[in-house]
Amino acid sequence: MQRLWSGRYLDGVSAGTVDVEIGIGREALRIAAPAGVMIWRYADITQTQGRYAGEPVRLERGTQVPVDAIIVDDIAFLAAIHATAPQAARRLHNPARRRGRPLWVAAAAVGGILAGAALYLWGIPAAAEAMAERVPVEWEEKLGDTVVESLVGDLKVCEGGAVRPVIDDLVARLDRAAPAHPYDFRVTLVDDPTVNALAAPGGGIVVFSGLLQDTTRPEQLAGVLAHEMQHVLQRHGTKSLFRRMSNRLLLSLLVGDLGGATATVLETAESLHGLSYSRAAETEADVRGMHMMQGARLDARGMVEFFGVLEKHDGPDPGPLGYLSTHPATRDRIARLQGLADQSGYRPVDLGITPKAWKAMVAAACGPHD
Amino acid sequence: MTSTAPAARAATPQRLRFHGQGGTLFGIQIVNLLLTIVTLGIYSFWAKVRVRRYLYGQTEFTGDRFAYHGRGKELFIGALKAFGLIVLFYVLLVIAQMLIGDVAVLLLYLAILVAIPFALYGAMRYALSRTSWRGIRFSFRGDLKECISTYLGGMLLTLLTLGIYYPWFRTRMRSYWVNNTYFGNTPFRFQADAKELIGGYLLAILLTIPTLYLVWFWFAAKVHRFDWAHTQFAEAPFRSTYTGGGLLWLTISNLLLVVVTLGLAFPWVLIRTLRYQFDNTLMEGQVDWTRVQQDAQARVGATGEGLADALDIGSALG
Repeated sequence: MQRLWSGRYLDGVSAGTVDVEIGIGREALRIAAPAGVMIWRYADITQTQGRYAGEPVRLERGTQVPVDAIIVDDIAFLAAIHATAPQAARRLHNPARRRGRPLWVAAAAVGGILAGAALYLWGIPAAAEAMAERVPVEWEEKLGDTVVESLVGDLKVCEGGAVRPVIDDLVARLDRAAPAHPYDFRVTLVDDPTVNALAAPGGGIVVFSGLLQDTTRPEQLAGVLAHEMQHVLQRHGTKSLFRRMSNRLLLSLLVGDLGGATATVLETAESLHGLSYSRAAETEADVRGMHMMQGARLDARGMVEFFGVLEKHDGPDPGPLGYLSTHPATRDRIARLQGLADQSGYRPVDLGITPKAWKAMVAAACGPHD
Repeated sequence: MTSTAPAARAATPQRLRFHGQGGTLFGIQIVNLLLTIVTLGIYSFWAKVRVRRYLYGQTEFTGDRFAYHGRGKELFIGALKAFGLIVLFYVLLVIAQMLIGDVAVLLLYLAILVAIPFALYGAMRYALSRTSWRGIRFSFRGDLKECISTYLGGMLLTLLTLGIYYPWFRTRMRSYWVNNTYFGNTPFRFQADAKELIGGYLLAILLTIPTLYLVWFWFAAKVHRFDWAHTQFAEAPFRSTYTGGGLLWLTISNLLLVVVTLGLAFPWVLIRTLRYQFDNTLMEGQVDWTRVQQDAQARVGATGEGLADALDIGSALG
């Protein structure tokens, strides 16, 4: 005679319970209640509880409410079922498999960390790059306008006086040295002592008068412009935007917060304030900017000189908003640019502006100051 | 049914018991995390179901466990629908802004204000419809219009009275939530006068600065005791044994655990919190459970839960 297991029967109709005795058969469970005997075929049974330590076994029959269920507190009940009906009851949890769980958890932890790192380091950048390359230029321009607008804010925009034609001339020379592209470069000069310059997606470049006044000859400004123009041409801003968006999207999905994800998609323009690029992007803008300087036959040393000027002017600490904070003048960066500039081997064009004349021009660029 | 048998009155209180283990929950969440990353977040809905199934299954009341009947697929669909609603709303907002200018921003605030009770209502209906004990489903049968009007009216009065009305506002909402909650065919009952809370509330406001906000732990405990002291199920009253000190210690120790382990202790924190809640909420008196009958309700979708998630608001009963 087989062992009988004691359990409780829930009829799914009332919240009362009925004590039952359960026998394990090859094809079905035999449930003996005071009101009569029920035969539950394994094929009709789903197990909804009893997979974890401290949980009684709960077997349900049927899928539409009301379903009836039996509860057995002793977990050995499951092992007995698997011993008697290994085939018919294979969908039920087997407590023997619990032993392997810690291994699974450890594997999942390692796998999770690896998958997360891979996604963050390669998956998202690759996806962002692919997306950025498919974005229409008009969209980038519109986005860039928003960025420039929020950056400029209440600052005074100045025409530039005598410097304006020089800026336009430098941009035109550099532009001609670049391969064909759909962008239209627009340089906005703002009256602000911050020593900085930024490129927004789509061709908008913002130069602070503080930076302009730190240059001692136009070729230095050309170096800054070449660097920023390359950020535009290589779509660094758009890529970094997509990258940050995807990162935030991923993070909010990880914590199961779709609201955050929604907000991310809708608040894109707002997250654009801090336009700092990855080191790889900076290097690319440096190298390609330098090539553009050379292609335009401008004195490539101007690009390197500017760092010297900055160092002298600002000292080692550039402050949170300075050019050096977003474009760190690391030793290898300067050395690389120096190396590229030395290989030039051409006679640079003479822009016909003496350092003294340049100094006067940039000082007057935003009108007289007190 | 006003008289209760003497034997029942003398019966020992019945507690919710929580059997969950931090280690097991940690294992579940680690596997969930891996699958969520690999599926780029899609799995998070199924992950939620796994966690809830575990937590409900580890919650015992008089010898029997609760059960969660939600499905990942329906949570996913609910979240998509909520996402669709929000996108649709933003599109309408942009159109409105073009037509009537910045007045549209006012519409935005108004819409969010209406969306909160709407989402809470939906989330409550969904959560209860997927919860059972002894095979009998819970349900929420409140009226949506009543929910929105009670919420907006209470909000307005609270603003107009500079916050004084708040105890009445939350008590009226509580009354709405509890009195429309059914276990099978039997409703819960909540009847209370917020006057009981006003003294403690004003005191808490006064003592906020001197106690560096700590007084609010004692007020929160008082509110919990008040809520459950006035709640009944089938004539059986409930009782809460929350204390301000208990809540304060729970919060501080949880905070320490999370900080020291850089967040890894989160499953243990969740379990400690649930254990405190369950250990300190008990039912006094007996219920004749055979009289509680299944009472199937129309099927409820998970859009409300998705919307509540999107708006970042918790469940109605906290």
